[in-house]
Amino acid sequence: MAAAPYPVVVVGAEGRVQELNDAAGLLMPSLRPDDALETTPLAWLLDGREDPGDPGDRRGPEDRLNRQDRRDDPDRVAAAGAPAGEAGEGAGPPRSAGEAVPAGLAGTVGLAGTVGGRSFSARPTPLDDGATAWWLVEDTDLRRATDDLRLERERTRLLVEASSRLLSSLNPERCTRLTAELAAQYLADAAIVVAPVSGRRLPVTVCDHEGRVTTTAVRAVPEAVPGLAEALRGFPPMPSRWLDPESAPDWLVPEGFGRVGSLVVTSLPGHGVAAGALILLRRRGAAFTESEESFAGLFAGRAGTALAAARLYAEQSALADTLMRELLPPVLHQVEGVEFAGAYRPSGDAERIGGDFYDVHPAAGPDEDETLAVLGDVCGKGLEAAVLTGRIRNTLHALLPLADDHGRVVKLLNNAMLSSHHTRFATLVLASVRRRGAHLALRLTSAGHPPPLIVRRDGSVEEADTRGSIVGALHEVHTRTVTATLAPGETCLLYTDGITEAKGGPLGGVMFGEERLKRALGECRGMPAEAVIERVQVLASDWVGDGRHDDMALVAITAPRGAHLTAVDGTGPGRYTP
Amino acid sequence: MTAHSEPPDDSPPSPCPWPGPGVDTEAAPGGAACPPGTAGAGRGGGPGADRFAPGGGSGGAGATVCGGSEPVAGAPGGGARADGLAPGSAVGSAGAVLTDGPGPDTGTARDRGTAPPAPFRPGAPPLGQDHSDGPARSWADRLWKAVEAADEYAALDLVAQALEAGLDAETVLLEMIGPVQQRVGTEWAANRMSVADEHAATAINDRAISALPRPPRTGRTLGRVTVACVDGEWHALPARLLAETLRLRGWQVDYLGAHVPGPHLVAHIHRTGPDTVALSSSLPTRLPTAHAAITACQGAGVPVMAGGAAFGPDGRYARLLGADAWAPDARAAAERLLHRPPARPRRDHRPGDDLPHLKDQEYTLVARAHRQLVRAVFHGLEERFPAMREYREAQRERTAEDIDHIVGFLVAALYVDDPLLFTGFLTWTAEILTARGVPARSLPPALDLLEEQLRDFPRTSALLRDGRAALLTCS
Repeated sequence: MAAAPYPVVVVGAEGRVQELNDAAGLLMPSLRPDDALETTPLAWLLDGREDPGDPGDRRGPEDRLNRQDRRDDPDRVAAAGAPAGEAGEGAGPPRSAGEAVPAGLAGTVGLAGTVGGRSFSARPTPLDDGATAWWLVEDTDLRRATDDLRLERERTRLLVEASSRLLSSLNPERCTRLTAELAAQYLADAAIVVAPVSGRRLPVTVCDHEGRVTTTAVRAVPEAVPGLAEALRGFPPMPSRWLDPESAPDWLVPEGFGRVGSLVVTSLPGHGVAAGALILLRRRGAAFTESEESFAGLFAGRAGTALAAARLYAEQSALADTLMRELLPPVLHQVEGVEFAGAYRPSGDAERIGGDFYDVHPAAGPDEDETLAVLGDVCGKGLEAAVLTGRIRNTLHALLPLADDHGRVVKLLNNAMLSSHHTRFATLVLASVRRRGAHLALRLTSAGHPPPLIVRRDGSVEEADTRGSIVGALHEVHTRTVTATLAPGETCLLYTDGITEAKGGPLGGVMFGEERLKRALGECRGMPAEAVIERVQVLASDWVGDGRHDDMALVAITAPRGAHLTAVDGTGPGRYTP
Repeated sequence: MTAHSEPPDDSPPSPCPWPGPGVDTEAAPGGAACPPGTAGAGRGGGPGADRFAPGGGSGGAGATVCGGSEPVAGAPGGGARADGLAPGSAVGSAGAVLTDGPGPDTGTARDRGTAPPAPFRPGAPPLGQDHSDGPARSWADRLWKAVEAADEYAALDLVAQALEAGLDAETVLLEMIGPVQQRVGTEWAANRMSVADEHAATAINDRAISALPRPPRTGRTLGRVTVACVDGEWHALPARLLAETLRLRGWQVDYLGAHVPGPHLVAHIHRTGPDTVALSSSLPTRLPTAHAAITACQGAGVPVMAGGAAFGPDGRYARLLGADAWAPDARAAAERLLHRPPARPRRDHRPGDDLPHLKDQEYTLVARAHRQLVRAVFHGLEERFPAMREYREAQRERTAEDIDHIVGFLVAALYVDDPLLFTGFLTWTAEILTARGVPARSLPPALDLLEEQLRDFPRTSALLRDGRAALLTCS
């Protein structure tokens, strides 16, 4: 045994060292026979801590990464491997001899611990007199490699999780909060995200040591925090040890955090410019290691990319919203005692605009005494068609004073469209509405468009006898305007061919068609404008089901039932005429 | 179609043996106006007056534009609601076809007096049960009369008077307007109201909601909530009641209305970053779509609270589909959001985890064959019942729609793997038909034909057998 290549120590049943070989003597020069085990560097044999074979799995998964991270320092391996402390220092409470090596362990199960900063696996051989010969097999390198592997796995897991959580949201505020939360959870005791400076205030999102997130605008300059101004400009981070934790301004430290032990300030790299800065705070006694700092940099890279993408999306969608606002169909209300309602459904589910359009303009005509409703359809779908609808709507708006002559409006619109660079054409229908007592007087003109349908009180449905050429294609256009009268409860429906040409039905492949539309309208006698629209829209939508369809647009013009002077917007209580 | 067999009942062949749901215009089992809720619990579910979505049977919703909402989903001029039902009056009732021979093309079943109107839910109080004795009860009764008469102005005046008399806005919303909408559904089911009437009533209720005072802007909110209906869901009123309730209680609400396509909802979430999405659906056939929407919202990091009859009276389908919360009605939803806000969704959540039974591919295959199945059953019925060929086009269409609904509910039941969803739909349909004087024995032949088509699918075949058994016990 004396010549055995491994250190061997024989421990008696009473817990005292009986014998040791040369290798053991070299490893532990202070060790003498008859030493009580708990006073020796091998005190951990008393703990009976099993060596699970894979030393890496001794920690619970819930252990925080920053704690594990510290073990990365070779000097600290011992702290991890042998909680009882190395070399007898701070050994646990003494145990009685009988407990020294639990009977079960004296068999084949090995124990793990450290001696002098090196990691060992102790394998027992029971001897006849109740003593145990412990063979110490060094596994420092293996253990270190396993620890490193586990740490890298943890970090990879964190990066993957951080990426997937950060990338799931394209909302900048949410992304910022998430960055602060993740950083505070895994990298530090508290984390602060500083958004790029706009104006005199610093937009600051703090996740404190208890996981609470708050967002405030702090009246401060970036220079107040060492390294922050640099980080916001995208410079490489300053090493943590250069930053004096005492210099952290009060606003940086969450309430109840205590004194700051160390801080890391790192840039959140965005698309070309920094998307902000990340500040990590730790309490006293737990400085950031170099490896931790570089990992914080990796995390910041992920977070910065996600934040920049979210900001870009927010900017783009705000831009699109602004541009699109003019192209969206208006919300219709009652206008001067006439009920108007409309509905619009673009061809694509992801779209909000398309080639159909409608508008209702009060105070049209030379005397501003009529309301003009327009509904039209630009050839084509999607954004390009939508842009042309915007031009047509603007042009028509400008032509409102001439609305007493529909034919002239259509001619002028046709000229305007021919002289533009657009090659698309359009169809439209104009309806001028004037209230005559309880009745409505209508003038209706179709320019290449399906003629309006009128639902009478008895449920019969008439097609207005107006015809005309499409606009934007020919130099000469002709239209025929007709007049109609709506009694209370009667409705005039303007629609685009997206409704009638909708293909589907329960058996599939069947067109919705005019007959079906007329039948549906027949059931809508006496209904308010919104209800008519709703009914037709629902029928057509259910008809197409999940299938493809063209843009659909509907406008209903209804003479209110009963002799009421209605509130103009239809939302106030009604008043009866005397 | 494969071989054709005799109808299971041994009654003498009737002159029109498939009168069924098919022919009656408003009796289409699609029931969409008020689906059976779920699991047959539509009836038992007890209509809370202020249901987030109508419990079981109540009718629709419908919404006009609500201030501040943006026109998503192409319903700018007014959200809408649908019933997916056969159009009402134009076609005459099946009962008439069965008993009187072809009837005229106009007139609702009610007009023509084909059947004594049987109450859909005997024993159910005429107004919402939850608040039937509340101070709002008499106001709700008066509002009902105005709505029934389609008198919008009287309805708006009543709301104004109720507010003046001291009712607060939430009470008006949930105990006056809510119960009236509830009753619209009940009256429809009992064949005392046509689909068109229902649309009109919904439009009036919607205007009444718009007439309520807006909560003062305080600048401080409890948080931000997006309220939306699932794609294909047109019953917007329950969602609107929730949106208004939350507004009144101090939340910042984005109300997106009926029929919100998934991409719109997700884009909206990214733009506004709400704390929670409240998703409403009353049609169980929309459950697969609802599931996609729930998963998409959670994927964007926002928890989802589900509500509406589609999710079951006890919210079982909300849990099944992985929703983070469920609420039976608007008040409960508001309480839940305030006191127990749904947590951030699980990150490792994959839609497949919720529904392991989908691995057998039956749902996928049957859903994909939806149209073909409808066609096959339709032609099979024509073969069995030559009289059907003599139907007018509109009647044939009703029949096809009814088959479409049956297949739709079959597919939904496969998706959630719950036979009660399918049997509940069938028994509810049978009751609706009975209310219209149409014998429910018109349904089994369609189930037979479906089973012939779907013999290779054990889960589907079992559903169809359950359906037939349920019809036998209820008839």
